[in-house]
Amino acid sequence: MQNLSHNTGSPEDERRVRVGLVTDVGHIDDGTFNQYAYEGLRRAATELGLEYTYIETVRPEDHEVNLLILIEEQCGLIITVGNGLGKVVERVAKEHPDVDFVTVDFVVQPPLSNVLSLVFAEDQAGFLAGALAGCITRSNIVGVVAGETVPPVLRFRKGFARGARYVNPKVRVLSEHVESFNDPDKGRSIALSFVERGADVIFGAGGRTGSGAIRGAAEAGAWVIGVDQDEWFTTFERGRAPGSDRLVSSAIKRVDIAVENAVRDWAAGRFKGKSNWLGSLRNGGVGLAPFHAAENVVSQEIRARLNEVTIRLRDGALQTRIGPAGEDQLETLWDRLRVWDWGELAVLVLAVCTALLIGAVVIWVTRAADLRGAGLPWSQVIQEANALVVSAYGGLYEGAIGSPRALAGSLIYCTPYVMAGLAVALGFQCGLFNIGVEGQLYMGALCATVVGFSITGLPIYVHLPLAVAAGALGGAVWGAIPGALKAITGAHEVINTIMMNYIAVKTVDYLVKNPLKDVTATLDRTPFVAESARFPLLVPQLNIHSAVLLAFAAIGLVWYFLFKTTWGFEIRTVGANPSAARYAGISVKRSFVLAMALSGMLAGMGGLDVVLGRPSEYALKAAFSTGFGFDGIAVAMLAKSHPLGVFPAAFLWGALRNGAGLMQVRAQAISIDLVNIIQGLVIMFIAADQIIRWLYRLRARGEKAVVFTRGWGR
Amino acid sequence: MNAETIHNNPTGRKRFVTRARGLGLFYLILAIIVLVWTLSSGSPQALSRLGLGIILQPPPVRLTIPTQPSLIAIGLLLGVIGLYALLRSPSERTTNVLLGSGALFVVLGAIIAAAADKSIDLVGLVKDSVRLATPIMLGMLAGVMCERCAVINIGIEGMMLTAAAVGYMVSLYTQNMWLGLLAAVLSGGVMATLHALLTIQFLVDHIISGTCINILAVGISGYIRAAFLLKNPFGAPGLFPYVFQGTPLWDIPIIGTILFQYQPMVYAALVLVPLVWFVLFRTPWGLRTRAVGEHPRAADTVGINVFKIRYVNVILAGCVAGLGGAWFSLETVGHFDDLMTNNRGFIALAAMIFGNWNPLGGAAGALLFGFADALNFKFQILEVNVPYQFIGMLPFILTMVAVAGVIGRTTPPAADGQPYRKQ
Repeated sequence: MQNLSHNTGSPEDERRVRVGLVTDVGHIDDGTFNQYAYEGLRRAATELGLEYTYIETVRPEDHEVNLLILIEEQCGLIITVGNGLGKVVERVAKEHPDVDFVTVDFVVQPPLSNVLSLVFAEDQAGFLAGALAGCITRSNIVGVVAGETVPPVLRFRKGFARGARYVNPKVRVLSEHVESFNDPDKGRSIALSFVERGADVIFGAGGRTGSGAIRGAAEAGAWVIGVDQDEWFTTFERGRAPGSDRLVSSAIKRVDIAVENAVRDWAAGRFKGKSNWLGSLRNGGVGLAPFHAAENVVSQEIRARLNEVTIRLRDGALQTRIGPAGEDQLETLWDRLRVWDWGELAVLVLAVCTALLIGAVVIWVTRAADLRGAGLPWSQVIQEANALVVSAYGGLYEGAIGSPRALAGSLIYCTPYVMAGLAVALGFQCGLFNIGVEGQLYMGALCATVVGFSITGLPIYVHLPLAVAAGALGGAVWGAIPGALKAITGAHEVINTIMMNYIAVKTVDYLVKNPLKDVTATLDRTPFVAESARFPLLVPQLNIHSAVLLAFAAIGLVWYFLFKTTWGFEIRTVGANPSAARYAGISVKRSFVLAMALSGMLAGMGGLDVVLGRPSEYALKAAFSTGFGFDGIAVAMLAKSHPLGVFPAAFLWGALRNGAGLMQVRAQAISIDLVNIIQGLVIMFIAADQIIRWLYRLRARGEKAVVFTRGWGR
Repeated sequence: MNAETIHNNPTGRKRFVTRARGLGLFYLILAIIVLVWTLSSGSPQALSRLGLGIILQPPPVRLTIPTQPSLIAIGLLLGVIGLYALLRSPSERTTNVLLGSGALFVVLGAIIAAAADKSIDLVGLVKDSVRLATPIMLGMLAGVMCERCAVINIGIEGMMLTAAAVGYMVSLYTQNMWLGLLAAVLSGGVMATLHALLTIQFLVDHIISGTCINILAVGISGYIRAAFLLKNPFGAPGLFPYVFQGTPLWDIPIIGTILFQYQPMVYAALVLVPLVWFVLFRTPWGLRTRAVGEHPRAADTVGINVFKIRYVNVILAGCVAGLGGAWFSLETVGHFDDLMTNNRGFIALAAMIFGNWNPLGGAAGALLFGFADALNFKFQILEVNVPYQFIGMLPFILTMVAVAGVIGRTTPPAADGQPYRKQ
């Protein structure tokens, strides 16, 4: 073990100058990416005089053995083809740091210094193929026969559909996946069924399955488009196969060029381990193949159109709107409204109503049991219990929104809920469950208060932003710690944030009772913050303060961040599917830390908005929060983790809490804790919406369950 | 390069930043803090008296040791451990020994420092630790039972809280604390049934479901208190009796105090820990449970009823958590207060992780947290010059350290938290 050379595979190492290739299940002349990768390797190796070798994988189980054979055979660089091999490389590469690896179509995570990953913008190639299909179709029906539902194939398929619709809005796209790359017969029969349904262009995206599809379709007289490489040379045997005049083009991934360049770099000692190479239109990594025998079908106008699409895609003026995992990215309002699941909204409303209804039943039963115990007749019991329910909910309504003062109270009440809800929602978007909002809230309030009272003599336009920034920073740091722990050690954020809640509460408790205590006050609290660090009141009679505006601004900013910026996109991708995000080369760890820090920041601002905004506060008390952090979870779930949903959800919550006081006054026997029960039920009904759908016979949505979090340590 | 480092380092390269080095640095910093604090603030004449037995009982058996020199000795020892770990980066096993002995010194130092010019009763400290560890231990068992069959349960806090409230309510209205205990166990089971329904039947995210249980429990218990307990028409039924009071066992010096001066829930916990361990690791049922926790599909294939295993385990776990709830209202306090479980349910989860999902290790973790609690109370009584909030923080910080893998790798059951659909 001591003698192992850690010389990262430079060719000077006498023993490791060979280059090896392991195919995905299939042969090196199978006309798919195996062949392309092999050709790239052959070209580079022949030219540079490198020794090279390959192993064709027969069964997926052999992947690892094949890799180990090549290592045994003293290969210094090993090229692996396909998604299936990737996982194996992840393990083997760690154990053999002296061998370099190039993975095609797979990104290892975490990045290793001896692995270079080659991936491609299949969506762009697919988009171009789709545009071509959209231009030449006469029936306005085109078809895609796709292979396994893995990200590269999904991106081809969806890119194709987008491209076709982009040039030809009237077009209809038929598509079907075959869960194998090696089933030409199945591909063929699906393609023929598409042709029967009127499709006149077929795109085959799925290894030999796709090739079977386009050969079948071409023989049946439809136009066909190949995939991965120019299928004129492979599937259609340089034009000798029947139907080759029907091949219009192919959506190609230049695996050969990518592999060739990687081998050259390696031989020259410039191997770029720990990185990804993305082949796109920009670097010629993807594109359309020549038209060959179909030259005359593609008119000058069509070529001009394709050219324009190519340039716009290349320069980013046109987006395929397909994510790295092959997921749709809907951007326009119309798109989103169209796919909006209105049943979803009904479930939310019904969940709240059902929870309120159960609350009413609880009141009724409590009262009835009480009166029966006192020996009253049933008729009177029913009457009294009904009256109590009415007066309780009447009080709740009046206290929440029944008067301008109540309405203002609910609005003020809801601002910290907005911030806490945004904080939890942002975490959910990244697949993280931030139960630590409460602690981050305390830290934010603490930092803002300290800046607020310790500095004096600043104008409000300096002091207030300073205090807000301090609070935001305090919350962000408190949130970033569990994020970083998750990224570095894999420790689950739920347990860490819970622990940090207690640490924060106890720290504040200590500080407020000892060093920061206002000695003139009887209550345990800090000194009042300076006038210049308070949020000015907007409507002094109703105590509406300007932190309300801060909450609205935060909603907008979080929405913009999540849906319009790269970081936000990365966070959402990580939340939707971490392994797909990894595939796309997104740093999952960075997203974890960033999302937790931002979530903490929002929570911190929720805390300071209570302390600096409410005239009843203006100083930090030991236990100032009434569980805003936990309410934040409910708000975020009610909002389905969408920032724009947070305001209505938070307002509902603020109103319920605000109205609870009057409810208790009106209905003496009823505890304020009823609101907690209602809250728990709302969360339950939203989390298990099957209950609501079953109760009200609502149609169930598809298999697209919202995943909020994951188990320990994943 | 020895076998163990290779095992930990698949790359074969010897990493510089190792767990031992991190530990060494931590102990070194701790040693410096101890030394600086001792030399700057302690008085050289102070004596620490450590009692062995109830101090007022004749004859008082005490160890009297000079505070400052012993603290300096402990500081130096910690420093040596730290330096050794930092410079040599020893093997995994040695690191564990260093970790254990260092922790022992830290605890000893804390006790000696607290007892400066005062007396601390060590035996009483042990007794309080066991007593205070009880709800954590029961909660930990509930957690282990759930998670071994891959259901994450962060609703233990809520189950205990509900059980505390319902148990007290029933014992108040029936004036029979044993019926109260039964009610507590059953209500824990009912809350667990809800959790099982949500997670197993409706495939709700386990953590969301647990949170929901916790929030519901706050509401239910608060509502019960306001609606049924405040206008209480009866007198409080009292606390569980001490099991061995009046027997000769009670009066045995030291051992009697440590072993026989408890109420029933403590013994329930002490019996359940080995029992759950035995069931999990030595019976077919336990094997099935663990199989379901590691690979439910495979378990299903060999004919194990995954759903049944999960339901039974989760509901029984809720009953165990219910015992923990009874500890609060029926064994310790004698009435019900809002939020009286005071986060012990979450600390129980930490103890579970501490013990690597094993009841025995978890019990050790629970005892550690119980000890921190006991120390916290003692320090408050002695008016030690350390803010009690900081001692109260210790379990939480320890948990974070444990979860981060510093104390050793923890591995949850492989399928923990994943929904299971029958195919």
